[in-house]
Amino acid sequence: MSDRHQFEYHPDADQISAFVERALPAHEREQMLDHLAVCPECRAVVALSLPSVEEPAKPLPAPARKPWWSGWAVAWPAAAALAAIALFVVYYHHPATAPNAPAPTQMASANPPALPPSQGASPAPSSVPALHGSQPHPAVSSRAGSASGAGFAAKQNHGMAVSSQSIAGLAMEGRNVAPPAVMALASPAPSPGTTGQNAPTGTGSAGGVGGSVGGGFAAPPSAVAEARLQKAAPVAPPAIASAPPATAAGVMAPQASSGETVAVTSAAPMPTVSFDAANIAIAENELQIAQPRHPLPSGLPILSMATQADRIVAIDTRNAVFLSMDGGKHWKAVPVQWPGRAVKAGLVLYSAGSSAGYSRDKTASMAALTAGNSVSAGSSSGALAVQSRALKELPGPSLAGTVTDATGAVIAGASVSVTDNAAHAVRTVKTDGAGRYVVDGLAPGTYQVEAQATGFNRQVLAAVAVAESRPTVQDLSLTIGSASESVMVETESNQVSVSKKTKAKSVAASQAPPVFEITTENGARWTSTDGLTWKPI
Amino acid sequence: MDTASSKPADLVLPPPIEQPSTADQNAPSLIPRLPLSLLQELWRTADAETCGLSLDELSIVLTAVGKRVNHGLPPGATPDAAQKAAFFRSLHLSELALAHACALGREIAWENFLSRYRSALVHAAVSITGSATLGNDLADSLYAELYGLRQTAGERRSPLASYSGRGSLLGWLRTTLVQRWRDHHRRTHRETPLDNFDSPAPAPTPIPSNLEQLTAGVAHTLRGLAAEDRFLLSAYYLDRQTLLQIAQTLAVHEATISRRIKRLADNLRKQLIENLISSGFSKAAAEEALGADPRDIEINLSTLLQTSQTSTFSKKTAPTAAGDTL
Repeated sequence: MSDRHQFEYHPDADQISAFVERALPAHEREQMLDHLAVCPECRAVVALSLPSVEEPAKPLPAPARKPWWSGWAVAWPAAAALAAIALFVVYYHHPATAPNAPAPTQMASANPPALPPSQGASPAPSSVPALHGSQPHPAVSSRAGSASGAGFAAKQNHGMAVSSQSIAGLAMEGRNVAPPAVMALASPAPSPGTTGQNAPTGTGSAGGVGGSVGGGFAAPPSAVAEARLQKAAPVAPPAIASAPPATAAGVMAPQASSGETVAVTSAAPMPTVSFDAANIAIAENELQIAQPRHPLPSGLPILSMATQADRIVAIDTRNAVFLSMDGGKHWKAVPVQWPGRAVKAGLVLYSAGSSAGYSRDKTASMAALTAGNSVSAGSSSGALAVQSRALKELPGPSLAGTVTDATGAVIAGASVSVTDNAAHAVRTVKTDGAGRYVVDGLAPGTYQVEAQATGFNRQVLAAVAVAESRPTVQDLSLTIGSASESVMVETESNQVSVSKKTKAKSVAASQAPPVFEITTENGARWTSTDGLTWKPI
Repeated sequence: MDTASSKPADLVLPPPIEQPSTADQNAPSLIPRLPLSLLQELWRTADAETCGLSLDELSIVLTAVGKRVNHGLPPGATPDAAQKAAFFRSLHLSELALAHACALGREIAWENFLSRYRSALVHAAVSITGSATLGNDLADSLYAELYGLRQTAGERRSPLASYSGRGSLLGWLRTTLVQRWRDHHRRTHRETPLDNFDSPAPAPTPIPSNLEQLTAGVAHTLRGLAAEDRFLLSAYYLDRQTLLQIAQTLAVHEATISRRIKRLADNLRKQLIENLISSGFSKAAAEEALGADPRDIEINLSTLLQTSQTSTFSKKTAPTAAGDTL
C-alpha cells in the first residue's frame, strides 16, 4: 500500500468490483485501465479485491456458446487433412515403401501365382480379428536382399514383401500379441493367409500362408520361427506362427524358384524390420507352441514360454519363471537360480553328430510372446521358408522338408528315416512342431526317405537325390490310414532308384531330447532338462 | 474514509415503506418508472418481494442505476428502450434488490443478507487483512456502516445504496472491505512515529541536463500505448504484481501476460530510442540513457515509469463522480 500518490477522484467500489468481475462496458473498462495505469492505490485495491483462493469461488457466468464454425472447429479437420496428405506424400515418395513400386521381374516370373485367400484359409470368426489385428495390406515389394544373404532391412508401415534369394517363401505377419487367454480361445480359428493379400501385387510370394497367431494349448503342432532383428534397430519381436491342421493349408514353394519372397506385414507401425538369416534357427525336434489354457499363478501375461511335451516353462511379465508338468493346468514357481531376470525361454537341442554351428538348435519358440509387436512366421510354407533359409546355412549336403497330411496340415512328431542307399546307414529324426525335419551331415547321393506317424500311412520315397552343393528339400505327405499300411512312392524319374538293400545302420539314432533354456537380461543362458534345476551354459 | 474517492455514493434514501406493494399492484406513481411489463418481469426476477422491496422502489433503484451509468452506454449516447431493457436484465437483480432493501432498512432483507453474506464477509476480511482479529474487526465495522448507523442530516445512509448490480454483491463487499482496509492502513501509518527521520534529508541530486528530453521522450512513448498496456507496465514494473495477479485482473492467462510484457518492453525500448533520437539524442546517447544492456530494460523502465508523471499518467480519470446521487 503506497502513500505517495493521492488522487482526487477514484473509481468507487461499485466500479472496481464490476471491473474485477469483467462486468464493465468497454468504454468504462478503458477508463478504468487508464486510471489504474497511473493510480497505484486503485491498482492495490483492485489487486486486493480479487477473490482469493481461500474464498469460495463465485461461479462465473457460463460463456456464450460459440457457433460451430468459429475458432478451431473448422481448422482442426483441415489441419488433420493436411497432415494426412503430407504423410501420404512422404510415404508415397519413399522409395522403399512406395505402394506401387514394381516388383522384381524375376520374382514375378519365377514364382507361381499366389493362392486366393479362400484357398489359403477360411475366414476367421468374428471374435478372432482381435488377434489378427492387421487388415489385409497390399504387400509391397522391394529389392532389399543381396546374394550374400546378409539379411535385409526395409522400412515398413503397413505391409511389404521383401525379396531375397534362395528362400522359397516366407509369410510372416506382424501382429500384436494377444493375452494368453484370448489366444487360447482363438487357437482353432482359421487364419487368413497372406497369400491372397500378396497376390494382387504380383510380388510372387511363393504361396506364403500366414498362420494364425497363438496356437492355443490344445492347438495342433505349430511352426516356430525366430526372427532376430538386425542390429539395434526398432525391435520386431520374435515370431510365433501356428497352423491349425484343419485350416491352414500349407502350400509348398517350388524349389525351382530362383527368387524368394518374404512377405512381412505388420498391424502396428514398426519403422524398421530387419531379419538376419543367419540367426533364424530351426527346431529339429518336436516342439509345440502352446498357450496355457490356465493362467499363471501370478495372473500376469506370459512374456515367454517354452513347451516340451507336457512340460511348459513360462516367464511372466515380472520375469518370474513357472513350470507346469501337466500341460499348463497347474503351475508352480521355479526358484530363481540365476542372476538377474529371466527374459526369454526356449528349447535347445544338442544333437549328437551334427556339424558345428548347427548343433545347437535354438527355438525361441515362445519367446515371441514378448510384449509389443511380433512377427509370426507363416504356417507350413512360412516355416519351410525359414527352414530353407536355415538350410542355406548348413554346411554340406543336407535333407530337409515338411511332413504334412492330405489336407496340407503339418504333422508334428512324425518319424523321418533317411537311409543311405550306398552305405546302408539310417538316420532317424522327428519332425518338430511345424512338421519340419532336417537331416544334415549327409554325403551326396541318393537316399531313401521314409516318413511315418501314428494314424497315418507310412510313406517311402525310394530315391531322393541329395545334391552336394546345396540343401535338398523333400516334403512328405502322409495319408490317413492304419499304422500297418505302407505305401511306396516312387519319386521322379530323374532320381536314381536304388535297389541294393543292405543292413541298415543307424548313425544318428541317439538324438538327445531338447532341453529348456532361459536367457537372462544380461544375456546369460541357463538350461534345464526338467525345468526345475537349472545350470549355466 | 479520508479521501473523496473512498466515499461511496451515499444516497438519500426514500422513507421506508411499511407496506410493500406487490407486482399485481398497479398503483399510479409520480416517479418516472419503467414500462410496467418490464418492471414486473424484473421485479419477479429479482425476487424483490422476499426482500420487502416494492415495485416502485425497485423502479426507482433501477432508474437511478441506469441513469448513473447511462445504461451501460458511453457518455452522450442515448439508449433506446431495448438497450435499457437489456441493461436491466444484465444486472444482478436479486442482489441489487437485496442491497437496496437492506439500505432501506427492511429487516427481512437484513436477515437474508446476514444469512447469505455474513460469513463470506468475515472470510474476505480475514483474507484481506491476513489476521483473524483485524478481519473480524474490519467486517464488523463495515457491517455497522452498511446497516446505516451513520446519519447525515438526520437520514440514514448506507453504502449499499451505491451498489449498482453490475458486479456481484460479494465482489462489491470485498472491494468495499479493501477500501476500508486501505483507510485503516493510512490512519495507522500516520500514527507511526518518525524517530528515525531526525537527520536532515539529503540534498537532491542535480538533474542531468538531458533528463527533460528523456522525460519528454518517455512521456511521448507512453502516451502512445494503450491503456491496458500502460496498466500492465505499471502493475508489473511499479507495483511488482505477479503475473498471476495481473492475469486475474485482466482475465487472461498468466503466460499471455508474460508474453505481452516482454513484447511491450521490447517495443517500448525501440520506440524510446527512436523518440530520443528524433528529439536530438544520438543513438549512442539514447542507448546509454536506457542502458547499454537490454537486460537492464526492466530497471530502466521502472525508473522511467516512476519519473514519467506527465499528463498521460497524471490524468485524473473519474468516470463517475463519486458524489453522484440517485
